[in-house]
Order: sequence, then structure tokens, then C-alpha cells
Amino acid sequence: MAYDLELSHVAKVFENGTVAVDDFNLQVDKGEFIALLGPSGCGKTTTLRMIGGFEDPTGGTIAIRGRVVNDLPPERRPTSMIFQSYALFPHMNVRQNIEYGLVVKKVPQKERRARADDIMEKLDLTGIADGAFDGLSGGQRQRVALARGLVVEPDILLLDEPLGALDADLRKRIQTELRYLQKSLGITFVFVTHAQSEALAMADRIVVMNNGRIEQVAEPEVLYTRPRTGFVARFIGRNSIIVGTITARDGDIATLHTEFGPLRGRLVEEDLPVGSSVDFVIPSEVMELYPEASAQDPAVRDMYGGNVLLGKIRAETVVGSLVVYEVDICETITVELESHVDKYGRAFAAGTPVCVTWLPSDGHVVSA
Amino acid sequence: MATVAAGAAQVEPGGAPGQPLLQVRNVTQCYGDKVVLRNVDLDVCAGEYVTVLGPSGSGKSVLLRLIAGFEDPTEGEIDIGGRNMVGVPAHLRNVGLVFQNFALFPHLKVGDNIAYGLRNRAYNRLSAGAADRKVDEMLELVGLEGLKDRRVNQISGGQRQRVALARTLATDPQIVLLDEPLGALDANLRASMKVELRKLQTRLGATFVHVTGNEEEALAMADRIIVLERGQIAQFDAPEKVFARPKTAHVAFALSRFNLVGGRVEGGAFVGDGFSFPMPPGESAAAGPATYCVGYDRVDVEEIGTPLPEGYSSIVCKHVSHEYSGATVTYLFDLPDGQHFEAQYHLHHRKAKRLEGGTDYLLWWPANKAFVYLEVME
Amino acid sequence: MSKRGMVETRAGSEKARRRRSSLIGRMARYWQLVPGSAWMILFLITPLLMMIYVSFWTQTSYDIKPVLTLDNWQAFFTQSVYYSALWNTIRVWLIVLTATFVIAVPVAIYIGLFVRSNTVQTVLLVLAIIPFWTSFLVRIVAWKPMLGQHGALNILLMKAHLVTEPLSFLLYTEVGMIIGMIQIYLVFVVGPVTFMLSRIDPSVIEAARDLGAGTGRIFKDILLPLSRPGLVTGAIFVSVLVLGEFATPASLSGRKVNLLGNVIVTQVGSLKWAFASVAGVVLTVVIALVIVGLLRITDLRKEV
Repeated sequence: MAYDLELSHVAKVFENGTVAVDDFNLQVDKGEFIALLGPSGCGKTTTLRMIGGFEDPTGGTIAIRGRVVNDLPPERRPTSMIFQSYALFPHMNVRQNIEYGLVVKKVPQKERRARADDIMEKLDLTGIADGAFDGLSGGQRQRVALARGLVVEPDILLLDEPLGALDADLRKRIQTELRYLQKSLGITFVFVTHAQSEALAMADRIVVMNNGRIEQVAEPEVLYTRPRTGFVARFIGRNSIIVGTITARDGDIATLHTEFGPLRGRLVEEDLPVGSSVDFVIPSEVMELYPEASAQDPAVRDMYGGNVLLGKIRAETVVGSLVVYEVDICETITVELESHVDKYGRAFAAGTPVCVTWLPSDGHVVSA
Repeated sequence: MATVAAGAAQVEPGGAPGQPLLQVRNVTQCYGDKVVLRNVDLDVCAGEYVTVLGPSGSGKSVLLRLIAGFEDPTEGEIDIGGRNMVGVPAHLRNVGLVFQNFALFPHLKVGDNIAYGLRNRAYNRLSAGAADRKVDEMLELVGLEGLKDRRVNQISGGQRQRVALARTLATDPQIVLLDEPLGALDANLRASMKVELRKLQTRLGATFVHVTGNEEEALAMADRIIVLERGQIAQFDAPEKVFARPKTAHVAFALSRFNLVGGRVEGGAFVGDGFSFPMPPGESAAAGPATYCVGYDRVDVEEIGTPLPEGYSSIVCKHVSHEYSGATVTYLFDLPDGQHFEAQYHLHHRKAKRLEGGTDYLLWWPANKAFVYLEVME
Repeated sequence: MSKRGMVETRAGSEKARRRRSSLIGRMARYWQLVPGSAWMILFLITPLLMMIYVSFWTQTSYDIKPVLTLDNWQAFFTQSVYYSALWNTIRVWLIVLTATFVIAVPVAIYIGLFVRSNTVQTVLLVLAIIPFWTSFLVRIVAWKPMLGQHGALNILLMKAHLVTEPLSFLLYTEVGMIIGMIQIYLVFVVGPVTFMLSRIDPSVIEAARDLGAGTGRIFKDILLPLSRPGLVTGAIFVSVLVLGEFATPASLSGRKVNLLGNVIVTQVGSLKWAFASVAGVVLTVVIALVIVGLLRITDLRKEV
């Protein structure tokens, strides 16, 4: 069976020579929610616009349900795009906006109305159908844009930073709504974002991009627990990173030489030889805090495979039940540690000398 | 009332430590028939960081504008440093306001933006040389050395935020008012500005009043939080106290860390459509419509049939989906009557679970960590 | 301002001060209307009424008397010199208006939509305005060496072998006059339409494409309605200026074409104030009708 969307060796080089996207390969199954995630300028929006037909790839093919669409203009592709600014037609009311795609396709008026009513009900827009959208809130405008894109029954819905124009408090709610909607419609969604929280919360799979290339394609959990590159580890989650060199290997556990002495961690890719320069990635929630004196305790050293660093609490921030500790290690780096208020109580106030530990199997060794 | 006579022009910086620097006394603000603030009473001490949390329309920005002096209250009094400020125009109150959209002067350079207040204020105006030194000092304070001659439209959003802050702080205001200062920044920038803003305040020992709609900001940054609800103060306390025991269902809602289930109290139990929980110990048992409240992070998810520990309340409900957000995973459930219920696992604390969508699970939580409010959310 | 506030706080109760200031505020609102109203009455309403009044005075060859009569009006609508001027004015106006739009809209679309750089947009608009750096009369007179039998245009046409002998209908004809007017008034349409088009969010056009609209539909459904305030503003500019024209016809048509403006000039020149007033009233009415008609297409206050 053909994939809903397949990009093979897609590249985009702009006229001025800038390489925006390079050798992009991705297969998307029907009904998947895919996020293109990366910093600004990483090529994620260009990729989305190539799928929608607004940019021509300079290499490779884009296929939708097995049909190569490279030569089709946007108006003839089975995709709908939701723009970051929503791009609603300011001179039309809500219903006219939503029906526009059907009017253009010469759908008879009766069917047009029925389909628009149907989608408006799904998106809870019925009450405002005949109003101008001047008075609509950001969230409502976004739903109108969604309805306008969905009513033409696209194979794939493309969303360009769909939550970018909303204020932060609306975002979380809409994020959940959008996920519900996508699952209930069963349409493939491809969305672009630079906010990892959105991607982690909504997507089935995330494509992490950097400098026009794919760094990793994975489910959120995998991206978080098994980052493949230092870039992914820096971009996703709240990881602390220590640079080092592999000095020994024992199965998937590597011993590293670092400025803080020998440390041990799990190899994410098993083919890294002894001598490779690596990033040692320590997620914020795997570290444990102990009083400074425990650093001398052989039982502690043994339990954590020697991963014991001395430090001093720089700041302690409590957000509800969550505590974030910033710990200065040897005055050279600061690691961040997240915990639950119940775990340590308030034993580690700012200024307290501590030791920070983690299990070798909880730290990821990735190529630098 | 007549004490303003001494002249607001000589408001000296700071107040006696521990003494309330800002006192809002019984303030009511009406626009026509619409009451936007009702009988607001609050004290803010010198050196405190106070956040004002509320949904849009709760009156939080109006409160800020009243303190700043852009509006005068319909009733009540606002004292700063022990002096009634009602009727004193904004530029004579020695209060600085950082606007949500930064409100920088787009035609001026960064340095000139910051110097604007120093060169134009009504009192203690600085000479060009002194103002220039102060600008350099401010740029260093907010970490923008070297950007003095940039135009405002050539710098990034985060940098603009800092310029706005520096412009306000340059005039050494007694109170710094911030109107959703992080609202216009993107998520990553928000997190780092949050920490920086708090550090800056601690370093300066200044008094900050920070209005926000974001509960995370309110909880993380404040010495004390004011939760506003439809123009009235619902709770005013330290963040850990507000979080441990939200005073009303609306406060719990505003913190967005609590399951709020609508139902009624009946025969000493909380009853909903298709479920019932024993009343948490110490809660009033008067019959009537009510809201049951339990923190997301208090809820455990177990297979059906797991024996319920002593002192726990439980419910069986259907798993819908989960949201990963780094160190926490939130599992979404539907109650039998369609209300939503969430369980949040912090990975430092509990291992994540693999749950099947559409399957029923047993959820439980310590009964004494739940609350019942005799009010219903709309 | 602040000083006064403070003195009063010292003197009396807060409430009294606030009551007083709100009363002053209300009064001030009406006082603000005075300068504008006075200006309108003095320089618009009064002269207009005066003109209507004078149009009914009795005009003899050398004299004018404030004796009311309908003779002037009768003369205007019975003598072909006058009513054909009215007809000419309307005809020329329609031709010039249509021609400026046919030329200006594509130019505006090019500058407003296809030129992405703001700097280039500004440069192109400034280029369109450059002719306005010289006086109106110079611009008209400059057309003479362009349009004449041995003018630049004919030389070009001959060189390009498009014509075998110089065209003679370019200068001192209605054609020449219309060419001149189109060039002079083009920028009044290009400017506002470009401005409106450049304000359209490019993703709105992309959204329409994405929903299946081709170029023609996008023009009709999106560009036209969204630039309507610009189109109407341009139409008003061109209409008011063309309807009141007298210099271009006088110069480029070799006085062969008589517009209402020319009638007024000649009548005033021969001190026939009453006739001039009749033509003036007719012209004012025509312009007013055109503006009202154009404004019905769009509510400028709402849209801009």
C-alpha cells in the first residue's frame, strides 16, 4: 500500500545558493500526526511549503497516496494549508470563508451548505457562522481557518505554526483539541513548529530538523529517552550535556573521559568506537541529589557507577508540585534537575553544597 | 486626603523595609454600569515580587493601570510609600510600567529609548552625560552591552523585552509594574526570561508587581500570588500555600493543575453521574451542588482489580490519550459522564506507564489530598 | 497640567475636582468643532450659496445686476456651446477614467504584489511621482514636442517602421488631450491601489490558491474586493481632477475640445459672472453626483 505522503531525497536550493532543505526522506502513514520541529531557518517551513506546492523542490520527489505531485500547483494538490496568520479572507464572513473552497470547486449550493454546517458543528463554530470575523478571538479564528481547510476534504492537512499566533494560555487547550480532532477525523496532519512542547504533546512522530537536514525521526518518548545526536538532546527536553571521549566499552555501557573525571553512560548507537568524541546527555529527571558528604560513601559511588559530581545549588524554583534545581558543578557548568516537591521536601535550598548522581543506564552517549 | 500637598515630586525611593510600600484600600473601579474591580484591598511590601494571576477580563490589567496612575479609581485609595496617590498623574508617581507589547519608540535607537525617561521626567532630570552613563549601566544590567546604537527594529523580541525593562528601571522607580511582560515572547525565550527577571529583581531589591495569565509564571516567580476572579481578590498568599489549598474552585482552575469534577454533595458523599467519592476528611458535608478537586499529580493509574490502599478514593474511567512534555507525562481520561480527568506522572518520581487508548483503568488518589468546593464552575 | 491638578487637590475635595474636569471635558468636545466649522462655513458653504445666487442674476453684455432671472439657465441648456461642453466633459471623464484604470491596475499589481522588497516598491512609486516635481503647466507643455508631427512619438514610430508617415492626429486633437490627461492622472490610481494591494497578507492569496482558485478567480474574489478602497480613492481623485480640467484641453487639443472648465474660464475672462456661475453650479452638481456614486461602492471610513 502506498504511503499517504512520501518524500524521497527532496532538496531545495534557493536562487541565491542557500541550501534550505537537503536530502529529506520521510514516509507518512494515513492518519499520522507528524511534527516538523527545529529552530528558525532549519528548513521546516520550506519543506511544508513544498508539500503544499508553494515552493518547487530542486531535487527529489513528493508523492501523495502514490502519485507524484511535483508538477501540480497548489490549487490542484489534495492538500490544505493552515497558515500561521490564518490568512482568512477579511472581506468575507465566517461561512463565506469556510465555503470558499467549495464555491471554487463548483460544489452545488445545497451540498456546500451541508458540508460547511457539518464541519462547523464539529469545530463548535455554529453560533458564529454568519458573523463577520472582526469580533472573533484568536482561538475562534484558528478554528475558522481549520474548518476552511478541512471542508474541502484534503488527503493531508498542512499546518504552519498553527498555535504560534495564540497566547500561551490558549495554546495548551487548543493543542489538546487539535489532537482530539485529528484522531477523530483520521486525516494525516503535518505541522511545523519551533516549540518542542507542542510537538511532544501532539505528534505521533516528530521530525527534528537542523540546517536543512533531518537529525532524527521518532516518537516523542523515543526522542526524549533515546536522542540520537547532541543537537536533538540540546533541542528536546531539559538535558544537561557534558563533552567527553570514549575510553572503554562494556556492552552498551561506555566509560568516558571528561573534565569531571571518568563517567559512565549508555551508548545510543552501538557502533561508536573507543576514542570517539561524544556528548554525554543527562536528562533532568534522572539525576538524584545527595548531601555533599555522600560523595565519599562507597555505597553511593558503587550504586551510580561512579557518576557522582560535587556541586552547589544555584537556584531552586518551585512551580506547583514541580521543583527545578540549578546546580553549579565545579563552577564550570550548570545542570538542571527536575523533581517533585514531595521527593526532597525543602532540603536543598540555594547555596547548599550537594552531590549529583545518576545511573549509567539513564545517561545517553551520542556522537558529538 | 490632602497630604499630597507636600508634592509628589519628592517621592524618595524605597520605603521602610517590612512596611507596606503599596497599599490598595477598598478600591472599586466601574466603567459605566460595569464593575471591573470590587473592594480590592492589598498590601505589597518593599522588595516583594508579587504576581497577579487571572483570566482575561478578571480586572488584572485595570488594577495595574490604577496603580500606575493612568486611571483613577471610582472609589477607594491607593497609597504608595504612605502617600495617597489618587489624582496624582502617572509621571509623578515614581512608578515604572513595562508594557506587554514593550511600547518602545520605534524611531529611536536602543540607547535613546532607555535615556528617554532620564532626560524627560519631571524631577531629578539628568544631564546628557549622566544620562549616558546611566544608559550604559542599564545596558550592562540587562545584558545588552554593545546594542546601544542599534535601532529598535533591528533587534530580536527578547532583546526588545530587555530594552523595555531597562527603560523602566533606568528611572529608579519605587515600584515596577509589569503587564504580561513575557506574553509576547516565544516559549523557549519565556523560560529563560522568567529566571532572568526574577534574578534582576533580587539583585536590585526592587518591588515588582507582575500581571500574568500564565499560572506557571505566577507560581514560579512570586513571593506572593494574587488570584483575581471577576474583579475580586480570590486568594492572596505565598505560591506554595495557594497550590496546597486553593481557596475557591476558580483559584484551582486558574492554576490548571487540578482535576475539577462537577457534581453534588449528597448524604455525606460527593456524587456525580455514574460515580461517587467519599467526602475528603475535614470538608463540609452540607448537601448541594459542588465541585470535587484533586491535583493531577496526586492521581495514580492502575489496572482494574488492583486492591485499593487504605485512605484512597478511586474511580474507573476510560483512557483517551497521553501528552508527553519532557519530564512529565499527562494521561487524559473521560469520566462516565464525559467530564475530563487527568493524571500527571513526573518521571523523577514515578515511572511512565504504557496505557491502551479506549481501555478502562482504575484511578486512585489519597482522599485527604482532595477538596470539595460548594460552588459549581460554569 | 499636572501643576493645576495638584493645586486643586490642595484647595478642595477630590470629587469636586473630578466633576469640574469632566464638565470642562464635555465643553471642550464642542469647542473643538469650532475652527473646522468656521472654515467650512467661510470657505465652502458661503461661496457655494453665493455662486448659486449669482447664477440667477441678470447678465447683460457689460453689466450684471442682482435681478433674479432664469435666462442664464435657459441659455445654458439651449445653446449647444454650453450643453455640448457638459456632454464633452462627461465623455472625456469616462474615457480617461477607464484608460487610467486599465493601465494603472496591472502596474499596481506588479508593484504591490510582485515586488517583494520594500525598497524597490518605494523606488518604483517615487519614479511614478517624479513628473509631479515639475509644475502642471510644464508637464502639459512638455507633451507638445512629444506629440507633434515631428515629435518624439512620431520619430519613434517611424524608426520602428510601424507607420510610414507621421501621424497627424496626435497633437491639437482630443486624442492628444486624452493621452496627456492619462499620463498626468495615472499616478493617482497607481498610488492608492498599490498601497491597498501591498497591505494584503500574501498568505491570503496563497490560501485562495490552496483552496483551488486559479489566477482569474483570485483576482475577482480576493484582489479586487480587498483593493476596493484604493480603487475608489483613485477614481475619486481622477474624477474630481478631470471633471474640473481646463488647462490640458486648452493646450493639447488646440482649443478644439471645450470642457465645462474651459467654459467657466472664458466666461469669467469676459466678465460674464452669471453664465460662469451656471456652469460652476452644473459642474459642482456633476462632481457631487460622481463622488456620492463612488462612495456608495465602498464605505471608506470603515475599510481604511
